[in-house]
Amino acid sequence: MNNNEIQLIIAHKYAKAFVNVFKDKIDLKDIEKLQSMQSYLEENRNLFVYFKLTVIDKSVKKEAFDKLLALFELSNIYSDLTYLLIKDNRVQLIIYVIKEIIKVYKDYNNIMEFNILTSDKLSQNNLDYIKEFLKYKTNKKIIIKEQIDKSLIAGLKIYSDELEWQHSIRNDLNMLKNTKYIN
Amino acid sequence: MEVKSSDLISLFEKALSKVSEEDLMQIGFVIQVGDNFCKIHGLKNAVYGELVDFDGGNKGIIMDLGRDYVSVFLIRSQIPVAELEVVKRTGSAFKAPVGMKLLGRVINAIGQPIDNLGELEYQEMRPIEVSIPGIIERTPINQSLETGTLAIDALIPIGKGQRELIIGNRETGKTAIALDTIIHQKGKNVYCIYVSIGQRQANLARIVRMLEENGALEYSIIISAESGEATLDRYIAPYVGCTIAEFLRDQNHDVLIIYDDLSNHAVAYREMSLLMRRPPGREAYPGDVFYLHSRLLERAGRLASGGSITALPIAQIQGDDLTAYIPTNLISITDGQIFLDTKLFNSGIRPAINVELSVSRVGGSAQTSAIKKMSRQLRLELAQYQELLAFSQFGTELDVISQKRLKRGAIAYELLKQKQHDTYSFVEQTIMLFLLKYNFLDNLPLHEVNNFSTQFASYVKSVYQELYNKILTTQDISDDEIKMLKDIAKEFTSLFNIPKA
Repeated sequence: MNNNEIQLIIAHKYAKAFVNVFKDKIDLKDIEKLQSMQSYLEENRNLFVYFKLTVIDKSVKKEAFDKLLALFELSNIYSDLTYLLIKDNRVQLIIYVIKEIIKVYKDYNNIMEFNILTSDKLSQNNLDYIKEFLKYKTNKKIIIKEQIDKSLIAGLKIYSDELEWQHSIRNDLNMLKNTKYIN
Repeated sequence: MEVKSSDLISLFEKALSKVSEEDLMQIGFVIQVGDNFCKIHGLKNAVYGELVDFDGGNKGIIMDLGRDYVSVFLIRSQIPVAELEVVKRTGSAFKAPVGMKLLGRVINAIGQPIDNLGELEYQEMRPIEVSIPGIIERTPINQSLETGTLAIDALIPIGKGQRELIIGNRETGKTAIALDTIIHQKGKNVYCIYVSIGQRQANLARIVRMLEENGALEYSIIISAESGEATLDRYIAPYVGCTIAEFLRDQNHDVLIIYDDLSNHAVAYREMSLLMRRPPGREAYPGDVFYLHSRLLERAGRLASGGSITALPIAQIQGDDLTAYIPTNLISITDGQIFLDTKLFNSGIRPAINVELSVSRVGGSAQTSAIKKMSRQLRLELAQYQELLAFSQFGTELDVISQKRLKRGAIAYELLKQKQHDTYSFVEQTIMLFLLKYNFLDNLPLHEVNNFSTQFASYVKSVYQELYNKILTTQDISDDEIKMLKDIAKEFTSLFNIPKA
């Protein structure tokens, strides 16, 4: 087992314990905010140089995290979690922990997230229809994230971590291009 | 939502402004990671060779000091180092565990046991790079270190504190000679250290088993840096071995250290230098590759205060080419070399020592008088034999003297043949050389020469114990003793039953 795998296991344990304790206080809005914070931290990895410096007092690191949580409008329960990680010298795991919290929360609440790529913006009716279709296929609560991708030409692409549907002109053309014999 | 990382950074910087400049200089962070190697920004007061601690649990040694960064080689290849990981100075050099209880153990280059015999009990930790003893502290080499190999002890004698290079192509018996020398030290109060550099794990296991079976492991320490280990391990292994040897020497013990082999060591250093972007020189080795080995081998020697380190570095060459870069360096650093010849090996002469190309520059004064007296003409006889042998291959008819010389040479080569792990004490060697010198082997068929001489040595040892012990204690052989040996040889010749070929 390599170091990354070990870190993931530790992060998963923190996340599972956190969701177990605070499952009533976490909601879908929190998950969205956590996702934003996760991508923010991934983009600003240089902050971890400071977070890991032992010469900087733990209270300063906590203050910085509190500031960050306040900006993302996350409640105090997350402040306790970050402080625990600072105290345990595992602050570098925060990104993994957030990722795992999102995953564990979705598993607990039977939620599945899908991304929809379309060439043009979909109407609410269409979105509701797709949602119903996915609910029927997966038997789970569905969260949809919509994105516009003009390169599809027309049609859509629906995908999650496990499933994918491709119904776009770009895809059809690509398939046609890859066919060996065209008369 | 717009979040500025600069707000948070300013918060940290404010906190950092309160930290003293001195504390900040002890810290750096990883800016580039390579294969068991990384560059670190910061660590302003870092020193070459200093040990550094990584936040992720790894450790490294500073091997290069740049303007904006230091180059560090990692000690543990299993623990990954991430970019921006924080690194702290330790203020000390890399240290190796030393102690008497290391005897009988197999350890890796960073001083951890790898023999499943539990924790390592050591007396102290010593830095692996130390200043070498000066001329005043040293004493001339005048004590013999028996190898048990007749060809070496008679023709290329090694003294305690000497550095003798064992050089040859692959599979010519370099390691076998070194291991036989270790085995022969049993009961001679010489501790042995075997440093394995860049070898296969299976090879090492075989060596450990062999030493154990011959009862040699109890007075030996094995340091292993296998080919699969990190480059740094292969680089520091000989220095770790030498540090342990120095500890034993400081307790007034004689130590024999074998570096198997320094060609692999030079390759590891070349790898490191190229990673550090140092300009490559001849055969892509860095310019300081001579210093790499000279500072290691200069640590060997005999001290006036007692104790010695005898170094037997091994070097592998290709195509019998002694003029390659590393072999020529090592030849010039050491006090002689034992050259093992592929042709001799393939023609059945084992140990395949090429007497003409082998030399011991200081061992002569350390050779026991008994062997010296008996082997005086041997080198000349062998040289004449080789010369005439080449001549006789043309089909020329040779005169009687030349034919006699050819026969003597063939007998001498036959006598010098020795099976692996069969080592002879210096008295046995003296007796065997006596047989050659006084022509007692001349009438024997060639295939019986070795058998006759070994049996004669055992005969003297068991029947004429008094004479045997006298040579052993005086380390010399008088005319009376030679006369006595002649009588015994005549007696034994009549007893020796020569089987029909």
